[in-house]
Amino acid sequence: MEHNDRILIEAHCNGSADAFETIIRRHGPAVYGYLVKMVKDTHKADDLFQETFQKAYEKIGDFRGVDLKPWIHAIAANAALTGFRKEKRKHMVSLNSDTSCPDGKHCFDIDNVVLADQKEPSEILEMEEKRRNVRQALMKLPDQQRTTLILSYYQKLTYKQIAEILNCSIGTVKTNMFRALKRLAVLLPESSGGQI
Amino acid sequence: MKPHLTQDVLIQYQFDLLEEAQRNEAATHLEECSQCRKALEKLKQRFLSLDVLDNEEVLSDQLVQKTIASIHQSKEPELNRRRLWVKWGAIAAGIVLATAIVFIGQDQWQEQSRQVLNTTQMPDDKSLTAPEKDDAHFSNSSRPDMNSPAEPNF
Repeated sequence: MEHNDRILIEAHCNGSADAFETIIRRHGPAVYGYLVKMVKDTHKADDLFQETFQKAYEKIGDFRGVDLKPWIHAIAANAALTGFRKEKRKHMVSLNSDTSCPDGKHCFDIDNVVLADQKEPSEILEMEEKRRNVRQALMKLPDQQRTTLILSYYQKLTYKQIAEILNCSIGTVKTNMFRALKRLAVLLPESSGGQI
Repeated sequence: MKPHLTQDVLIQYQFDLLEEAQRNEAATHLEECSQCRKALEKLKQRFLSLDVLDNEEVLSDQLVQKTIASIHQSKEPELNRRRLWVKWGAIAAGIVLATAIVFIGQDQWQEQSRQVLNTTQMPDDKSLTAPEKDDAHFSNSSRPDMNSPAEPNF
């Protein structure tokens, strides 16, 4: 995987038009998953996704490593956290507000879900309720704790990789992770686990 | 038996946040204590609810295409900017080269003209002295020797 990343980067630097698209298709889903969990709506996630790969495109020539995953996640994390800081400065965001979104993509869309999952409407409703609770719980975490938890739990990155991504020590990462988990132990719905 | 593990320790144990010695200690305790094992299982179940968000979001092909298009769009001005830099760079290099050629040429021209001056002045100097010799020689040789018997005596 990493080896293929290196080949793709070299192909891209040598002028291959498709190499970067392959990189987006390979790492895009994980990056998008991270961004959607980090922000409240998909519009913002879409913008940050584009920003992330735009920056990756500009800087990929300087990349000397072999594994693109942490590197691209670092760009995404930086974009997301910078976005939060800007929004906070504008006093436009309340992390404790409801996670309803204007575009409806992140909200419950029964038609799409029925087609995708072939489940009973009641199951879908129940699942959506659980998702909403978990999203709300995640959004109640401070930005640094949330990003640490998402990178570790969902993106399966090591604490060392997260420390490199967030430019901090492993100790800080572990502290943030512990605080996030401690908070989630209270915020997460008790009965939802194990039934999904 | 040691006291039961706290929730904090259970969380740290589950997510590999403990130092090795503490982790071994907690593992030993969990082997012996069913109550703590139960508490850990409950905690695991609670955190499992995080998995509802796994694969929830699918990256659409539309977004990938949009991203590629935006990269190509932003690449154009960048290319134009680079072309402009190359253009102005070439012009600047041309000016520098032309100036250098002019200066070097001027120097060489001055040097050449100095040499020409020197070379044209040298015969003049000689002409001031040499002709004397020549004249002397000529005059000596051509001057009629009054005492020479070969000369016709009119």
